[in-house]
Amino acid sequence: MVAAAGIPMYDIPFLTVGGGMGSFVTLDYLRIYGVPTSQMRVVSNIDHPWQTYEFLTRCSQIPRGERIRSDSSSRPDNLWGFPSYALEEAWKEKKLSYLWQILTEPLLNDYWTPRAGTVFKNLEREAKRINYWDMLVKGQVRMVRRRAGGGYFTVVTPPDGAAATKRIIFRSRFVHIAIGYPGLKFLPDLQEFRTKHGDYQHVVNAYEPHEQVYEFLKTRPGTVVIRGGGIVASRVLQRLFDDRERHGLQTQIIHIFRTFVSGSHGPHIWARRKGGDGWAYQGFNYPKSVWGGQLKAQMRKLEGTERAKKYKEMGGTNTPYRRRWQEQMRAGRSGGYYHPVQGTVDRVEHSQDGRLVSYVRSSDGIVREPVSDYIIDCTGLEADIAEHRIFADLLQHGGAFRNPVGRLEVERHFEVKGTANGDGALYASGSATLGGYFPGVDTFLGLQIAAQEIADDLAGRGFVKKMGPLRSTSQWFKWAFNSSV
Amino acid sequence: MTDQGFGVVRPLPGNGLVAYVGGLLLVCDAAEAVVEDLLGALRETAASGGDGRSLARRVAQILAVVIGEPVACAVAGPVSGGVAVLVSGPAFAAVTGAAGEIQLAGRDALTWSDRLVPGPVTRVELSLPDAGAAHPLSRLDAGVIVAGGVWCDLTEVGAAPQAMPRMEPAAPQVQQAPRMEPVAPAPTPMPVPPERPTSPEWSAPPESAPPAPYPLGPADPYPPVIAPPPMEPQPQAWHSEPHPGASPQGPMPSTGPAPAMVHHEEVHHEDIDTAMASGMGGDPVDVRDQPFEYELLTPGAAEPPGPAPNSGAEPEARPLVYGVDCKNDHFNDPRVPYCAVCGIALVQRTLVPYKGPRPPLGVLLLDDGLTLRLDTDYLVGRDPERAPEVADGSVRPAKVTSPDGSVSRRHLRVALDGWDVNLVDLGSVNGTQIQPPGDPNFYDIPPNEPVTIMPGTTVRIGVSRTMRYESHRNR
Repeated sequence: MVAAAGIPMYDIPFLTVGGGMGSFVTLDYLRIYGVPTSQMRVVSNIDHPWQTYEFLTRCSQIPRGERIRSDSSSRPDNLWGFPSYALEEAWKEKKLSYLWQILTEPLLNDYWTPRAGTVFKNLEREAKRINYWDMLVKGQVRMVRRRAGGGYFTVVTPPDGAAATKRIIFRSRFVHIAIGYPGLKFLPDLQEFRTKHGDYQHVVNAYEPHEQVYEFLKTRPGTVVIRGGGIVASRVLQRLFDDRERHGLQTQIIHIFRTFVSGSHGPHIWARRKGGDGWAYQGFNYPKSVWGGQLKAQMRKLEGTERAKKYKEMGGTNTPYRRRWQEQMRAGRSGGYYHPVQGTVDRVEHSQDGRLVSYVRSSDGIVREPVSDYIIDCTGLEADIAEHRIFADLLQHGGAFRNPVGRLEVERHFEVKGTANGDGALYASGSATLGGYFPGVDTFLGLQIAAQEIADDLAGRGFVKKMGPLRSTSQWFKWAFNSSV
Repeated sequence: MTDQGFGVVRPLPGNGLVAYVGGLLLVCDAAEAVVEDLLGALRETAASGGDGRSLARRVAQILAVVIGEPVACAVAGPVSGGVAVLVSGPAFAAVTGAAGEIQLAGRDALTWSDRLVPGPVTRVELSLPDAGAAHPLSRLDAGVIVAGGVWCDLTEVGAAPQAMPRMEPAAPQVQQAPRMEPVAPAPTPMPVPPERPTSPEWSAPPESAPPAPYPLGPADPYPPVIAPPPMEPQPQAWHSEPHPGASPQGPMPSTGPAPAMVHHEEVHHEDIDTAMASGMGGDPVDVRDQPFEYELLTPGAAEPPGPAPNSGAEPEARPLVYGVDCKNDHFNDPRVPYCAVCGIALVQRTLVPYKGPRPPLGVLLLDDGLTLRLDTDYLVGRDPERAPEVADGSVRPAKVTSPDGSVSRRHLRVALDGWDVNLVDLGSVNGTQIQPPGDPNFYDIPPNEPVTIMPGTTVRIGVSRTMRYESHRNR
């Protein structure tokens, strides 16, 4: 039928959709497992795998020279995780203090994290090594559909002029979807403000470029409202504090937490999380036991509401505790220029003089109306997976369904449940699969664990040879010497 | 001088165009190819405070370009000590001064006729061949209308006409004005050095006439003598802060060394100021009350009539550009990864570009904190308000001054083109430099050529002032 429609069709055994970090890590594993580039394609509309990641980190105040905020228990360009980023940076920069830091974290020191630039540079090196760009096909994926007789069709719109037809189709036995977040999430009241006033500059999302806020504050004293208590809020706050110190500014900061954490919290004495002044602190993105401990083991067995409950228990917005930043916040509170408050914002309006008034209702019923020059929304990236056309189509026509926390339900080996077709399989990894048997999917390590599960599953299906210790060791040497897989 | 005007101005019926702007008169055949240029010259002269002499020079420059074609037009404007007139083609002028009536016809000259008629001048008539007689109750205070000519009685300054003693337009009478004190400034001790003392014949163009640096648009004039102090673009529209220190200078470009390029026009400002100070100029018509005049955009001023986007309203008539819709139907720059309104990824869509109204492209952030929303073009300079394109609302003024006087009166145009932000240095004296994002160096941009800048670019205007272009669309 497809052939009759005159749409060109290409056969490719393994296709990954997305082209970001999730696709890259998966292809990296499979290349190292021994799949040649001719057997795999990645369909994407970005040019290199770290493009979106870099865009988002840069906007959220982590340019290449800054250290990433969350922990780096692994490195996405190296499936063995050795040598770690810390070893590499210590070696390259000849700084033993980094090693001292990782030996003494978190008691005497903060958790060590690599520079964003180190991450990107290594990704580029590895992408070249596995011939990533030989596998890249530029285009928009419109849908992934099960094919009569097994496997899947992936309908792609190539860029203008790149193909003779408006659509091309890939026929694959295996498809992997790693398309990340459907988008940034702009809060409804901020969206309304933008459309109503045509003002895109004073009410901003932390994940979009908003340098004008910091530049403005260098020119005259101003007030900024920050919304949200996560990792991005902490980084934005630090930028405001840093600029204050570096340029002698008089910026006033009002920080609105929807959930104001005033102290340690948790269900029982063995599952407590530190907190205070609004924040919930966490050394890592996830509790350590997610990766190999009892939490991982427990979650693997839980279904339905029990799993959702467990996620809720360990979840919640949190951010790493950083000493320097803590000092800055303390100084801000005592100096009277940092004002954390609890509340939810009903709406934002223009004041008489053209500034911004937030109507903030706290849980005790008090309504505050802070006036500011700028509002930075740091409430996050989450958006419903159905906002993305591929997932929406899969949920509607592909047999996929949602997991207990509302995202895509996947097996323990990251096959999308309900989509199996003949001898083919459809996999997904990354943030869309949060809420499955394995937590921590939206981290470097989470992507790698998913990739490993997928590669092992593919090995079980005969698509690729199993990886044994000898082959793994020889591949590590190839990595170390930057020679082709 | 220009505020003095021509007393009572009565249009003559006909099919030409008559413009009376800032005390300067223009009569021309509406079908002439250069009619817009002529109107532009009139407005620009009026806006820059020029007198009849400047007007005649500018018009002569325009006529010189199309020399050989007898353009039907006549202009007149007051100068110190009389009235300057220029006539071309089939147009006709008659001026009654101290020495009697002087008649000028364009046809009598090979190129055009001009004359400086010494005062006191009591009557001026400019007409096209088909002009009729003026209605005794008709009156033109300012503006551009369809008419065949004008007839001016300088003895009835500004007041409602009580008597109409002379209705015969072409009557060759020589008559002393009975009440002429306020309008005949010639012999008074005015400290204006007449650079070209009443030489009866003068010709244009002089070499020092400044080139018109802007496209001449259909602008309304801005009368310089009523210039309110430093203008800040409407604060409620695109920034939210008061601007202390945004303008360290006074309203007139009198401080700091004036760049050579604009020097000669400033002489006229001084003329005007001096004349005003010495009580001359009769009853200047307060053109702010006239609907045709451009209103300055001052904080606290009435809502400007022009293209003032205010905070609550969509700027009307936004230009249409090719863009794409996100899945929630928000119109976007096709190159950005996420929707500027709701944040959803644009990359998941098959994007079909179409023409839609352009949302704001970002902001210009000046080093004093002034924030200009990029939803229209800006004219940046020490004295941008008088530019015709500002007056007609196609460009918003951005007044930038510097203590060292290194910012030209009209320094730089920020021109939006599609989704791009371009800079056009308008031949400024001290030039414009840009520092692209991530580059430690500043680079000169060539004059009068558009240069596209990226978000994060710092722009140096002259020597000491800077601004930054920032945008949520940065990729």
